Amino acid sequence: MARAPEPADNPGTPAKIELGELLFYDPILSTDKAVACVTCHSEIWGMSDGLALSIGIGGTGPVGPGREGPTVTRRNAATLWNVAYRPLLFADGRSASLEEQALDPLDEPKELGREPAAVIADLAANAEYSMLFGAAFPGDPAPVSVQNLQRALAAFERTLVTDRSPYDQYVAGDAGALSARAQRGMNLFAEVGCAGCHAPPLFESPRFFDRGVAPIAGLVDDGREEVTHDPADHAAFRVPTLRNVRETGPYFHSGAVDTLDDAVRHEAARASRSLDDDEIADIVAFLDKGLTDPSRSPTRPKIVPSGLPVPLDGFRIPR
Amino acid sequence: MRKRLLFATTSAALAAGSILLAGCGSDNTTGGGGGSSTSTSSSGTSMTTDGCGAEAKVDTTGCTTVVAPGSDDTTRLQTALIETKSGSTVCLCPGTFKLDKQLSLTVPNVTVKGVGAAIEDTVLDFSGDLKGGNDTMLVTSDGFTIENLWVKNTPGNGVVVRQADKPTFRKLKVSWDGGSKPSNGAYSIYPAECTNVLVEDCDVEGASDAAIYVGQSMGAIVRRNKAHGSVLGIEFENTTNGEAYDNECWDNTAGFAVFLLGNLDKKTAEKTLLRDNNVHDNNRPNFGDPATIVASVPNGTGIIVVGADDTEIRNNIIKNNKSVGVLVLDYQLMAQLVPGTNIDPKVDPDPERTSIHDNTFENNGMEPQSLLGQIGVKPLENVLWDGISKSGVAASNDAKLCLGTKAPIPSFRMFAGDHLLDADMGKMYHSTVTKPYECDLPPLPSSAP
Repeated sequence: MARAPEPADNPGTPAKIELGELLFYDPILSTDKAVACVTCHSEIWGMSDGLALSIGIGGTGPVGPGREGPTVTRRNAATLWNVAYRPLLFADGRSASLEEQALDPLDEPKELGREPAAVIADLAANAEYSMLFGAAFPGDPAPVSVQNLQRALAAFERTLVTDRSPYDQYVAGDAGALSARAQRGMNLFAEVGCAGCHAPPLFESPRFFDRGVAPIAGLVDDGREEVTHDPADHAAFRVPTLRNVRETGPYFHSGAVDTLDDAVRHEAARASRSLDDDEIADIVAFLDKGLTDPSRSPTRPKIVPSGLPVPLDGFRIPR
Repeated sequence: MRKRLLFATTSAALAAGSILLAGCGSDNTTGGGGGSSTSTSSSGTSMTTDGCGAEAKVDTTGCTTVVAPGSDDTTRLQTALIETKSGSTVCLCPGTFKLDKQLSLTVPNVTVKGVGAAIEDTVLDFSGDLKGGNDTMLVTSDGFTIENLWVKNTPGNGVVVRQADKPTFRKLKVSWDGGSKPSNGAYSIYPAECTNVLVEDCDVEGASDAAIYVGQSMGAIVRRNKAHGSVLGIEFENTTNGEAYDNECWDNTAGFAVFLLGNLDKKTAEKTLLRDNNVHDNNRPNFGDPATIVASVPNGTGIIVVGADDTEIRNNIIKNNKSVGVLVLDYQLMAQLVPGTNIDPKVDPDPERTSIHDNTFENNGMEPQSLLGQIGVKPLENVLWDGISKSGVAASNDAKLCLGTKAPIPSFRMFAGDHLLDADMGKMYHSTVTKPYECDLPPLPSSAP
């Protein structure tokens, strides 16, 4: 398979990836010992969470629609599919590396809500984690460190590659991989300008636009402007990937649009020419099926070193 | 074609930076580990060869790719599934494939089949140390067919097809060497979020949730299967237009389940037809994961309906189930029994318009189990309903339940589910009078050819 790009100082060794995967699923990272990375980035929900806005610590109920809680985040959880290829992370692009990014949700009070140092103390006190960090970072005299926590999580996230969709098979020469309708949709997708920003093969780009999604009442969100302080970036958000888009709803930075069909209609209203219902259905068919490939979904561990229960995903968890 | 070229070019240009297209082979060679063990027809059309070896004496006509068991089966089989083209048939030779990782398939219109004379000839054995609880085989492409194979010892789900049109499961045997155990995989045959599902002539024993499961799908035919030794035999969950006929379900905790559950994308379960099935001796103690809703299903249940609308149960043989023949419950009641389940406000929890007629009931309810035992009636009636409805009036239209108008009307109890957790189980509200329920509902059309 394609090896995702990785920084020279953090090559993805098997031991490191395995450690990162366990940390990803382990609620030991959170204040309430119930929330893990997977709570908002579940393989069952397209490496997102199926919610308009995520619910972090103190939430009740399984991961997915129906989860409730007092700590509602400001934005829709971004999918982690192909995150290795994403030069700017978060909807406002405030982070430039997966290593750096990892600390953000960790100290964010609504998400995991913990000081990195406190997490490290817990991890160091856990014999299994001490052993796993040692194996993942051989030669490091103090392997259980904040930096190595960041590195392990990033190494794991770089394995979340999706590149075996019917679209990929079609491009590789298998004409039957896309239905006639999906092929029409793909052509329309290029013709009316969608592909300019949702550029293949990633179907995203590190650019920021205000797509006129209604703001959520009571929530202030200036988007990219919060990072650049440039008024031109007001309410602009990163162009998200459309790979596995079928599974990553609700859509847009605020999760304001529930269905893929409505999301396409929202965007079609800004296309270079008007599209009729049939054409919209063609584009939806292309996105819906043509870009779907969860074949490298991570393997959810049954148990994690902390012994805490791994968060459940409604009834869809492979059990 | 012009647009396609444009796209391919764009992709190639970008791929130079991000190499996203690598891994999708464009030639016809299947990576072979074992010399003669893998062969491929370049034409992709019919080929009669000794692809499985002359001594195997099997016909590989119609096979696009032939894979024989040998060394490193996981890699070779996965490679074949990645490199296969739409419309291909991947044939598996007799013998045992030892697999230790989830397989996946994303190419449309692919058939994977064993070419042995019997189902048991080609075995996919997952008893190796799989790292986690993931699916055994995950398919996301349309038009997938899997047939004539024995799948053994899956730690997670068996063959999972998600978000696809026309998946077909035919002549599959699924079992675990250790028998019915909680550590077995939850579901064996698992189409979810699919359309036009067909499951036929399969034999599943020992699933720790449902042997044959159809979830969040539109249109499903489940026929001529055997489901036994599992927690649930055959389950339709949040599915519309499912039909099951000529199946035999025995020795499960419950033979059939028609469920509407919360916290799923699809918010309805409608128009399920269960006809001409043999549902008997489903008395196995529940061995489901206590954290799941299925763990609260009382053992000894023939058919359980939770929250689903327009369910029709006709012409079945329902016998020797020691708790009850047919149990109809409100989803909220089920959710109450499982701590931590939230009531999804977007689902309508009441089972509406349940039609139960022309079945043969025999020897059910003799030793009611778990909660049903607490009702304190022995034998329990053949049909039980918790009577919960939006209007609070049991026989009202919003929650109608009909037992048909033809004798014999099955024995019946409305057991006041909203008082089930009271100390006296709400016994003063119970009723066994069938008169209000002697009615007919429009029959569901059979979608069978």
